[in-house]
Amino acid sequence: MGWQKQILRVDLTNGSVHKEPLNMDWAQQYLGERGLATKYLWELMDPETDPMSPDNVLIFATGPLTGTMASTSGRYAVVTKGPLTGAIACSNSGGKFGAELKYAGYDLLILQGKAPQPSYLYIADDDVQIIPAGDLWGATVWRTEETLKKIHHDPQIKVASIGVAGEKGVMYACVINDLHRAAGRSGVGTVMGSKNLKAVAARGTKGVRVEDPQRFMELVKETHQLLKENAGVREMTELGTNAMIDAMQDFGGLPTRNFQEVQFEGTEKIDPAAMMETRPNGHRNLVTNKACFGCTIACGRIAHIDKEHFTIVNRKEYWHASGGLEYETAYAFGPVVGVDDIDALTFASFLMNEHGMDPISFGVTLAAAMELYETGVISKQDTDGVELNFGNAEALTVMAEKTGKFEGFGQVLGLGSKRMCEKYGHPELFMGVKGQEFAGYDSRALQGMGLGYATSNRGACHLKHDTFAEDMEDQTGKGKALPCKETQDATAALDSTGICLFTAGAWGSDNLARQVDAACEGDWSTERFVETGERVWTLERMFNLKAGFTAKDDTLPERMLNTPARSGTAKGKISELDKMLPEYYTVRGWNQDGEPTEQTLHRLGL
Amino acid sequence: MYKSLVLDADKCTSCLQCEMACSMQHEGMFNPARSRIKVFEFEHGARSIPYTCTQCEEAWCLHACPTSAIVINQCTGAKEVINDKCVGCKVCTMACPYGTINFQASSGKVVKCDLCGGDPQCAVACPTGAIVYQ
Amino acid sequence: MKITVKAGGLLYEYLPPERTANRATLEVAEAATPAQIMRDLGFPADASYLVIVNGELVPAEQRAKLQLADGDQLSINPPLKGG
Ligand code: SF4
Ligand code: SF4
Repeated sequence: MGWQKQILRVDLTNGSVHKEPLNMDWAQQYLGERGLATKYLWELMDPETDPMSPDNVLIFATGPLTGTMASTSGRYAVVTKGPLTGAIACSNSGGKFGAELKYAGYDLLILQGKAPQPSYLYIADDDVQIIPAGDLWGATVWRTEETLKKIHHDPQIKVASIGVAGEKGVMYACVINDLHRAAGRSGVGTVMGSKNLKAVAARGTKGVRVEDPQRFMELVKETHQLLKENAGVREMTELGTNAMIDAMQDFGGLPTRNFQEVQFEGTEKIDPAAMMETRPNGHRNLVTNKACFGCTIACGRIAHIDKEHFTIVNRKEYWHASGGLEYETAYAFGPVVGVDDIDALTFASFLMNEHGMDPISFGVTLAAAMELYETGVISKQDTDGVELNFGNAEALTVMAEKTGKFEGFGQVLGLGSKRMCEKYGHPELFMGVKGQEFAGYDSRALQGMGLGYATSNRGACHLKHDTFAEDMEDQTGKGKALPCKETQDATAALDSTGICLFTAGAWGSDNLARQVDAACEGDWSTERFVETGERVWTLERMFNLKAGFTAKDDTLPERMLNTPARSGTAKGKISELDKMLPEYYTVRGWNQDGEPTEQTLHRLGL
Repeated sequence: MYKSLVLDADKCTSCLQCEMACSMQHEGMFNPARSRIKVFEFEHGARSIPYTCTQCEEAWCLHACPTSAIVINQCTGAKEVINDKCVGCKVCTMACPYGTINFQASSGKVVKCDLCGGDPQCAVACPTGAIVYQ
Repeated sequence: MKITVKAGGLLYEYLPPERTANRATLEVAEAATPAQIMRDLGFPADASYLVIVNGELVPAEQRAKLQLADGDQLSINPPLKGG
């Protein structure tokens, strides 16, 4: 158990809905969520398929622990071929939607084809309907959620939807659920839009059972306690993920002004202390913290914007609280675009959620546009008259809204940094890998992070490996390959359970394996669990190789490889990717062309 | 004095551990749809309010029941439903001013909080102290 | 001699009460090491902190060796992690 053992397959082209038994052989090999969805994707589509064509497959996947009392059990993943990258995309999200989908009785929701007209999918346990979206097409994420709850007379419905950005083809549109949780990266929302699918509304009353309830509950108690006692977890509860920003500033790994610099002078205006400070007019940015489903950490921030701030002074509709700054949003609307106005940052956050866009990709694309503007490659004529200088808070919020609505220069920003920089003849200004923009860590200061970025299967990503400890100890390429590989595998396993990555500071693979073992049939030893992760990672790689990627794509921008960091602890350093990558291929059991050897494939049963 | 569940909405993060713990205790599975405690969210999640039976003194449900299926547990003070006696007429659900006794279609009976016989699992599960049994 | 200490995240809790936000100026013994200062402030013994002196990284094995000088800036942060 753990699994519902049933999947839902919807062909949007002809409107057919099938409930099928979950392939249990695959579940035993790939567990759930990220892994299992990857396996289904691999079996159901040709990796060379155009990501925007109806033949792309879009999978919403829960894990065997989703919807259980294991802490942070709300996760689900959206897996598809990403339009931003052309690689496999796997974005997971918290909130409450994932658990609800599972309670409705499904481990996976597989969407194929393209609806003849804009539609949404309604799932209430066994009742599954494809319903015309009507004037919801064109609506924001927020209005969509509200409207669907009203139409179906059920405030308990959980909704995952896209905004106009996803409908119109912003290349990094997300799927947003529960107002402010995002399956954020690689354009999974863009794929949903290309299928004419506005939303999935789910209501589930079937519950989830585990194999050995007594042992499971003992483990729940034990693992909740581990989280509670962990200093890092406590920090996440009290300060949110943005707690990192001050340390990253001191360290000199905080990408600033499109990665021209690695430290940002305005950090203290946008850090957790700034969020928690009460201003002379009585306003305080942070309202409260908020948990995803099942989460005993509650890293989420709910914030509001000062009503006197220029962004919303005349816009009452934004006078309420909503999802506030996290580390990545603080970075993407702060240092990387040079802005230090916390209200503007918070407003940009709201806009990303409301219109359904990935803040990282948006921020880093805007940063490149600002560099293009400051170097005179583009001018006010291109930018709808907006002065696109670094540090311009108004430009940030205006462009966020234009992109969300796909208007004017927002359509150019909607291409993502790689395509935009190519369009203007400056591909070197794209800061990312495989078409996806970097998160808030500089590869020159954090060498292992650079290797992780270069080798991540969904393009630049900070969430698929964890070499922070190694990167803090030593700022050369030495000793990074093995921990990078090992944590990629462990993370892939974790991402296949339905659990949030933020447990990883307190739980090792053994804690997770034991919970999986108590919840599911089959013997889940730690070794088997981690090997499952390696299998998932390798299958993702196989997908990308078949999609046309080669070792040449496992690289970093020139700026990381040739331009030394200007300040901070890594002053004068460049990324040593050339040293790390060959070693990485070796520890992976891949040849130097980055292809898994026969032996490796055989060992993993691929 | 009986102990009671003290609910503090200011502390609640809306994690729903309480709903899962409740359903595990009473239904043997994780199923918030069948939980006796409910958490309601308002204002884009800025407020989350846990809500369940107050075990009120008047006990409207108990007095309304035509089959005397609702009784007071002398150890805890909880108003408990005796499943065998409940005929599913739903009169109690109308009598309760708080809406915390509910008909369950799957069993054809009503369900309500019974304080888990004196060790309420929601309070055990709550990570924030928003539910305390005292 | 005097040094300034900055403590990131929730580590400000270990700074003396005279701190302003997450910073404090401390009077310490001549040639004190980061390890000594952290011990005196009551930081739990844990090698995973991120320690930086005057903008330079101090790896764990250096923390008991590096001698600080008057006016140095010591910054102690919780371990870096993803977010
Ligand atoms: S740690 Fe944060 S992101 Fe993860 S489940 Fe909890 S609230 Fe959600
Ligand atoms: S367990 Fe506690 S914090 Fe979580 S939803 Fe219930 S009352 Fe709120």
